[in-house]
Amino acid sequence: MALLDTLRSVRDRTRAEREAESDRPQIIARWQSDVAALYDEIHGWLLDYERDGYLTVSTQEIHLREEPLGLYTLDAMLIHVDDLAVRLQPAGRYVLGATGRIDMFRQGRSARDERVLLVRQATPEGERWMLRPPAGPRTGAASGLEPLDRASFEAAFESLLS
Amino acid sequence: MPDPTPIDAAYRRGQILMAILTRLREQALANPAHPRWVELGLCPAYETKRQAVADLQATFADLLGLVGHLTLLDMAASFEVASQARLGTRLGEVRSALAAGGRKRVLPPYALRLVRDRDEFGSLRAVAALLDGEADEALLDAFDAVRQARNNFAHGTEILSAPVADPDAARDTLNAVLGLL
Repeated sequence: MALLDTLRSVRDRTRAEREAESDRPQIIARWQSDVAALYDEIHGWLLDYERDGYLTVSTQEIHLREEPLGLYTLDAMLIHVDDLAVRLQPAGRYVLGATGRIDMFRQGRSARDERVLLVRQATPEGERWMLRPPAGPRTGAASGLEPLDRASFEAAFESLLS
Repeated sequence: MPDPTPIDAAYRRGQILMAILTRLREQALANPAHPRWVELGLCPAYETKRQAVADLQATFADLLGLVGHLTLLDMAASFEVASQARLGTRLGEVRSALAAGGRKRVLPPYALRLVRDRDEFGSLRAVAALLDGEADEALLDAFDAVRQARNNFAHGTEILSAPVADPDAARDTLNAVLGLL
């Protein structure tokens, strides 16, 4: 293992742990707020379909427990299409290689390889949401991520319904 | 101490791989969030720490199991190469004796053609048949267990189940049989 990689990993980990300990309420609030903002944006992309009666959107409070943050509440988002439902379920604020993850899957089809991942990544310009389709690579250097926008979201949503 | 045989070399390769994997497993589980584990394909990206630990444990169990089977396979293959070489020498000695017998008219002139080719002893089963009745029965039973373990892996086995023959015992068995050839 390269020393530089290990030093960076130790630094990032200890920094994250310190940050989590001292600013836990703020980190949770920021994470909740970012998730809510993402739901609003996605809801905006779906408004036309909702107005035309093709789907409905709701939220549901869930509890998450993460090692650095403890137990906290957050919303999951549900998109109902007739008797099907696609669920956006936050997986955690602390995940490998990202600063948050939401899993998107069709209810009843929640196997890991059937989930679309919405991954929050830190960039020099700030936090940015990315999307990884179910068939994308999950290991190795290739991340398989693409920017989350209306087009990529609709394509992923459609793939979950089909 | 006798010189190491090709079987000993194969055993050593397996032990080195096992030690590397065991050490890497300890490092990975001590720091499951390190990006290197994702880069190496040991666990998927974007997982929670808890899931990463579970994935790493499962991956290393698979890899360690695989190395156990591969060590046995490597030892069996090394035995086959070494036994072929030894049997080639023995066949040369037998042929020389038969040729001498033919010249003295003690044996028929076609005696040499009665001797089988070295390639016919290329399998573990053929070696076992060669030694049947000549070698200790317990040794031949252990040898057959190695043969079965090799065949089980070659024909598809559950990697997480350890080989039916323990690597240490398999090494000793193969070396003992090789010593009889």
